[in-house]
Amino acid sequence: MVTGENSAASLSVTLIARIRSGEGTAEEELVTLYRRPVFAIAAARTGDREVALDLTQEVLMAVLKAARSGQIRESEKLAAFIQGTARNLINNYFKSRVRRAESTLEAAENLSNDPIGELEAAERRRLVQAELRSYSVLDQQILLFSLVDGHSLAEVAERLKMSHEAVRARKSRLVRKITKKFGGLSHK
Amino acid sequence: MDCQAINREDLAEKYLGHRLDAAQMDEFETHLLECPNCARELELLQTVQTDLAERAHEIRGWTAPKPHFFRWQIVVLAGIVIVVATASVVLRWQKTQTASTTSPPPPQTPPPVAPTKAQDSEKIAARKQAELASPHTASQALTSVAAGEQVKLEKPHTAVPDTQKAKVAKANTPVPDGLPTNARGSIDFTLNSSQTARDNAPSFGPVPTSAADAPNKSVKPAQEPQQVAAANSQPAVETAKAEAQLTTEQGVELYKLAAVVPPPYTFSGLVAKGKLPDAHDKGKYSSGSTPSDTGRQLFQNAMAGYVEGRYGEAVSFLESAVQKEPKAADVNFYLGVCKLLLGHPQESIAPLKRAVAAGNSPYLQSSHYYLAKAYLQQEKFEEAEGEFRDAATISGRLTSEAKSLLARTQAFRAQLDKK
Repeated sequence: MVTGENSAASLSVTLIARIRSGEGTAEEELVTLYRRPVFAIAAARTGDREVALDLTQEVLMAVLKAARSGQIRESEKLAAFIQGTARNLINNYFKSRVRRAESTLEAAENLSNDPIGELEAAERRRLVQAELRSYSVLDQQILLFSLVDGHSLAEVAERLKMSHEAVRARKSRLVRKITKKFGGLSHK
Repeated sequence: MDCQAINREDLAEKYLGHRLDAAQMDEFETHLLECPNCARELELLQTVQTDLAERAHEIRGWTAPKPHFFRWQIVVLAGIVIVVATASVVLRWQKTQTASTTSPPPPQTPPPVAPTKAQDSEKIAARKQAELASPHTASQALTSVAAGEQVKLEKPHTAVPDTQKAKVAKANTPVPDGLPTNARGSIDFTLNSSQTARDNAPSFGPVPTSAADAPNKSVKPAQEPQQVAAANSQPAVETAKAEAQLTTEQGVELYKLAAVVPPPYTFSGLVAKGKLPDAHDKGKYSSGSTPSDTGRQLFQNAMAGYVEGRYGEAVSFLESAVQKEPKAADVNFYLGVCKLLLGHPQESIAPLKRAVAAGNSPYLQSSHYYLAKAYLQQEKFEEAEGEFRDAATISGRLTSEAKSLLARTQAFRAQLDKK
């Protein structure tokens, strides 16, 4: 991953420089590049897709503002800057528990203006849901208890009256299967 | 933090489960922003989580399956059923094999005619003597008395009887007690397919104490003069071998060797159409006046009678069928068998030989086998041995039985020759 990180760092430096020079496509590029991971982080932290969407917009707007104004000093550490911004805004959300108002910034339109990406994501969700429904009751319960309820494998095994090893093997097999089947689907 | 560590330690799952500390979380999120693959996998895991969370109530409501229990029950039950079915088939097959090797139907001793007082007193005296002389049971003692006598075995089937009846006419000796007799008083060699030789092993009950008793035995109907005359007219009957007298034990052994079980017949592929024709039709068919009649139809009609034990009726159809299909192995085979079952071993030989001559048919081994039986019933041991030998060389249902009967026939003949 070192090589990947180096290339990401050099890409970030170039991207920030282009944004500072006022290149509009560079801003779009940044949003396209980081919108999904930021949304994933926000969704994971908040557990609310709508809130996560709002927070994603806020995070990206804050990053763009910072990039335009040259506040990002270590542009090779753009990912860490975005992560820090996202964490702070999410923490603020939890503190206030107040839903942020929709941004009226022009860039906000662009944030969600990715119909192809949205379609792909929706299709992938549909396929994953269909796949999950095709699993046995036991398999779905194992995934539910471990991924949603957050139980340990031992707790799941006890609850389902199975051996720890059996639960571990089944869960591992299921996750691998899903990842292999849908992890390679292209999306932006 | 790298992708491998994330995969190895299931960090994505732990992240979604909020099981990472703040530093780990920051590090993981930073990696996510730099690594599209890990971000994609996290998204996938989130999709799974979201879908499961939306259906959590439904999934929790499902009864937890009892893994494999029911399936195991089914598998075990199926196994038991298969074992039982196989065992029953094997046992039935063994029983059939045994039955065809040996004994006859339960001896149907005709109702004895009331013996005279003199005969009664003689029998009682003999029984008492036997009881005193031997530690064995009375019946065993009487058996030994009977065995001491030289008796002539009347030939089982009506064709053989010519020989036997001639002997009987000469010696005035009865069929040994316990051996089943047919309507003509001859030994009935025919066994039901469900009978075994052991089931039907003759048990010697009251036995005449002297040769003088024999003619009076009720089991021995009066010889028809015509038959006796015919028998006497046959030179073969007068051969030295035919003259040889058999002890009761030998008679029983011959009986067992020559006993005939009707070979099975199923209508596989030959479903008889409609009911059997009546007597009028039969005559019509046998005369061949019905143009639509074919050898096959006649054969099917014959077999319809055969499976129900109406061998006489089967013979009439088979004789008509053999006129239309003189070389058909099945027609000739069942004609020979029916003749044998009706007690006409001499008449059964020709059709059985034709069935053999038909070559490599499904009936070849059986034809040799029943031909041997026919010869045995006529005391033609050499010919019988030859046929058994041929049957034993063919791989089939009767191979082992033919080998066994061949050995026993050879032993039996050696015993007679020694004598």
